[in-house]
Formats: sequence, structure tokens, C-alpha cells
Amino acid sequence: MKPLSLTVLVAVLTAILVPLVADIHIYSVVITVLIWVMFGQSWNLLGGFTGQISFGHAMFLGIGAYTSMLIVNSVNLDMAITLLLGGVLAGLVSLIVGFLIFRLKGPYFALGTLAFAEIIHIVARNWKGLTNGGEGILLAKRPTFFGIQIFSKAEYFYLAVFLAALVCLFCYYLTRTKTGYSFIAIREDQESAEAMGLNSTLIKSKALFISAFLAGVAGGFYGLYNKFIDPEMTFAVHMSAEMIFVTVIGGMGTVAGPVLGSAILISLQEYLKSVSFLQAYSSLYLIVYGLLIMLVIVYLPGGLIEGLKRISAFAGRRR
Amino acid sequence: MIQTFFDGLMIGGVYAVIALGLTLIFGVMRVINMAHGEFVMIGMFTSYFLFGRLGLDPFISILITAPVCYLIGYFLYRAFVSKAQKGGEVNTLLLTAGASILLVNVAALPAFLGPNFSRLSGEGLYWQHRIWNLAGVTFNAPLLTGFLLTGLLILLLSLFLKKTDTGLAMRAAAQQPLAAQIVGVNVSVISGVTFGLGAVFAGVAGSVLSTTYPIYASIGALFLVKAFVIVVLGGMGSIPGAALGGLVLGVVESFGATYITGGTAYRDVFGLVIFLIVLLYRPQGLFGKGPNT
Repeated sequence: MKPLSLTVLVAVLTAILVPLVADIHIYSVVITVLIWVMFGQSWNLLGGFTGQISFGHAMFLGIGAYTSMLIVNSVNLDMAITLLLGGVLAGLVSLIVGFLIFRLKGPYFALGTLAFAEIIHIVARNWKGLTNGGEGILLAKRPTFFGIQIFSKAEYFYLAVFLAALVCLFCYYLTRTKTGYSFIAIREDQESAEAMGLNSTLIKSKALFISAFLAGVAGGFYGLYNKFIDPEMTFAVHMSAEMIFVTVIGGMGTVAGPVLGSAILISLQEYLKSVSFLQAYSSLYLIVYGLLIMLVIVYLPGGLIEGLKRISAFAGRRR
Repeated sequence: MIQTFFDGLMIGGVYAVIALGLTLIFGVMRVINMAHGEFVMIGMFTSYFLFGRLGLDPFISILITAPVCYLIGYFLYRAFVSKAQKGGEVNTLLLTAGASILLVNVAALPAFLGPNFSRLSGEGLYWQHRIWNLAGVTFNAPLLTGFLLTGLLILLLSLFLKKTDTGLAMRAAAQQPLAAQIVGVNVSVISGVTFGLGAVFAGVAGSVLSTTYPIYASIGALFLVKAFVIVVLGGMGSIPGAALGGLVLGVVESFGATYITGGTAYRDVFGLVIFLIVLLYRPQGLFGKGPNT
């Protein structure tokens, strides 16, 4: 089946089937999964396809979240414009970040992004005039999307399905354009790519810009959906880490990876949180996370997607 | 002024030990250990619980902290890190980040401290609020003892690297892993030993810090960031660089907190900005010699 029709099919099925069984809890789990699908795709474009591991993507998420929140609270533009503006602002910041740290490679790049994100995190915590500091910002108005009011869980759910499907399709088709192939060329061997005449800094900046843009859009949606943001739930390192985890566990460098990764990890997380017997062990799901990521990196470097492929190849041989 | 300087120097000594472990691991096997801060936390927890349950002085419990950290570090390397090394530096970075999350949250289980803060305190604790006054300068007693211990450790480490066969093998593995393998160094075992040793340094620092710092599961991140700043400042993989860098960071922080008004909120930003600038414009570190590490 073609990816376009597959994505549309999955999206439509989700949009039809989930409301049949949904209560508020199921809605919030599915919306959270879809939000992390978008974050995962964003990180994957830079980390998985271009090979630049960022430990600081939370800064783009946070910039998007704060931009959208502030715009909706002040002038309440349509969400379509608000989210785009958040994404563009995150993209513009990414150009500055990229200009400074794309001379770093591999793990040094990762450390550089980590330091950058932490600086912005601390600034966001202390710049009370803009971000209201650690107290955070509450959503004060009802946002609209193309004129339709988006406020209840169900409304957010349909919008999340739409946006996540859009992001997945965008990533899929982007990675099959010349630009997408140049990302992969940089990941596979930067020096050879340069020898072929590719401008590596320009290409990496493009990848970072698009990735930051997507993170900003998704971050804006995340903030509006939560109806509240503070620096800890937007700019903190654990947000960057979680973006990496959903992608690495699902499968880096594949569009299906972040979808699979967030579906499994976020449902697991929500499930472990809801089991009353485990509630005293609030850190348990993070232990499972940590262990899972270690095992996947050692035994399944291609993520769960690779595991599925191996299983189907094995089954095919048996038949 | 002098007081501020010595305050910084004392805490800087502890920072130096943490950074030393990180730089040792990086120097020998090119692994950036994101779980390094967690070994500081393990050191703190071990000392905390040994004092709480058995009344053991934190400076004596170092004798237990050290082997505990060594074993965890060695196991982490042999069971996971060594297998991820084929995939390159980024793979081990992600792996140790996973290990960090695992260790933090094991420590946050109710069996240990849960999500709570605690402090080492009690009747029998010799070090509680103890201050020594030497030549008009007051010293926090546990930190001064820790500082002396730090100097001793650095001395021992350099003797170990220079005089013993294992040390020689470590330096060989750091310079040319393949050539070392050819002349009969078991690089995998040596790397495990180094990883364990790096963890020991962080753990010992944790034991020392347990006397003065609050104790909680995720405190490692604080020291990890500082250790990164120091290691980049001193040059990745450089042992004298880490020692000196630790002292410099301690003194800079101390002066910044004392003399810059409103500096406390943005204190950590200064360190990170220094970190970025050094990383960008002098990646071999302030004291490094090579063109690039």
C-alpha cells in the first residue's frame, strides 16, 4: 500500500474508531501519543535522517509553545496562523543555533545543543516579564482552527490526528526529495558528501530549520492542548530526552519509527501511571524506559521497526 | 576575598575529582558518559544509608562506596557500553543517557529515598556544621578533608598511570587501541577497568559531598553539567586539565555568587556560556596541546 493512502487510512480509522470507545482518559492518551509522534518526527528529521544528534530540541518545542500561548492569550489569532508563527520563530532561532554549533560534530554537537537548551531554559525561568517564570502561563482564551472552536478533548483529538498525519506525510515525502537524499548523504558520510559538492553546513541548517519548525508547531499544539505551560514542561532536558527515546526505540531514520515508538512508549507510560498497585512506584515507568533504550541500542540498533522487519523476514523464510 | 577564594578552591577540588573520572573514561575509550553524575549520586546514597543504618562516617564509607561504584561501572561497561561502541560515539552517548535515567529512577524508588530530599545529619556525625579556622580563613571541615583526599587521589592516579602495568596498558589503549591490542593488551578488560575507575572517582566525590549537599535521586545531573564544563575547559581526556579546570570552576562560581548581584539566578548560565565558547573556539581545551581532540 502506498504511504499516502496508508497514512490517510490509519488517520481516518483512528478518527472514526477512537471516539466510539473513548472516554476522556482514552482521548488524552491518544492525543499525547499523537503529540509525541510529531515531536519524534521533528527530532528524527535531524537526528535520524541527517545524523545530527540533538540533546536540545526542547528549546524549539518551548519556543513554539510560548509563542502560541502568548499569541492566543493576547490577540487570539486563528490556530493555523498561531502554530505556524510558533514554528517559524523556532526555525529562526534554529538558524542562529546552527550557525554557531554546526562546526561541532557527533557527540560534541550533542553537548553543544544540550548547553544551548539549558541556557534558554534558565533564561525562560528567570525572564518573568515574558514567560511569567516558574509560575507558568494559563490559556485564557478559546482558540479556533480555521474558524472552528477547539476546546474540548474531542476537538483537540481530531485536530491532533490531522496534524500528526500531515507531519508524517510531510516527512515521508521530504525524505524522498533531493533535499531529503542530501540529508541522508550527510548522515552516511559527511566528507564524501562534501567531496560530491554538497554544502554540508547549508544542508544541515536546512534539516535543523525544518526540524525546529516542526518542533515549534507541535510545541504550540502541546501548550494549547495542555492549557498551561511552564519552563519545566517545555524547556527541560527530559523533554529533549523523550523525543530521542520515542524515535530511537521506534527506529531512527524511518518515518514509521517515531509513530511506533510513541504509540508503544506513551501508552506504556500512561498504563503504568494508571495501575493503582504501581502508583507508589512513580519512577517505575522511567526505569522501564531506561532499560528499554539500553537494550534497544545494544541489540536492535534499528529500533523496533527493525525488529518487526526481522520477524517478518523470519516468518517469510519459514513459509 | 581570600575567604571567597578558598571556599571556591575547596568545592573545586571535589568538582575536579568528578571531572577526572569523566575525562579518564573519555580519554581511554572515547565514550561521553552521560551517566557519570549518577555515580556521584550512588556515592552520596551509599554514604547516606551506611551512616543512617550503621552510623558509619562518610569518610570511612568511601571504602565501601569505591568498590560499589567500581562494580556497577565495570558491569555497565561490559554488559552494555562495550557492545554499543561499534555503533560509534553517538550510540554510546544515547546508551549512557538511558543508563542515567535507569539509575536515577532506581534511586527514586520508595525502597531508597523516593522523590524526597534528605540531608546527612545525626547525633554521631562528626562533620556536622564543623568549621576549622586556619590563619584567619574558615574552612568547611568535610570539604577541606575532601580537598586533601582529592589531592591524594590525583597523585595516586598519576602514579598508577605512570608506574603500574595496568596504567601503562590504559595509556596505550588511550593512544592506539588497535596497536595496544596487537601487543597483547586486552583492551576490552582495560576499558572496563577504566570505566569502573572513572565511576569510583565520581562515587568518592559523592561520599565527600554527602556531608554538605542535599541528597536526592536526580542530583547527578547538577554535577554532570559541571563535569562537562570542566572537562571541556581542561581539554577532553586531559587529566591535569580536569584537575585545574575543577579548581578554576569552583573559584569562578564562588566569586560569581559573592560579587555579582543577581548572579545566583543566572549562575549556571555563566558556566554554560564558557562551555559553549570553549567548545566552539578552543575545542582542545584551555590547557590542551593537540590541534583537536
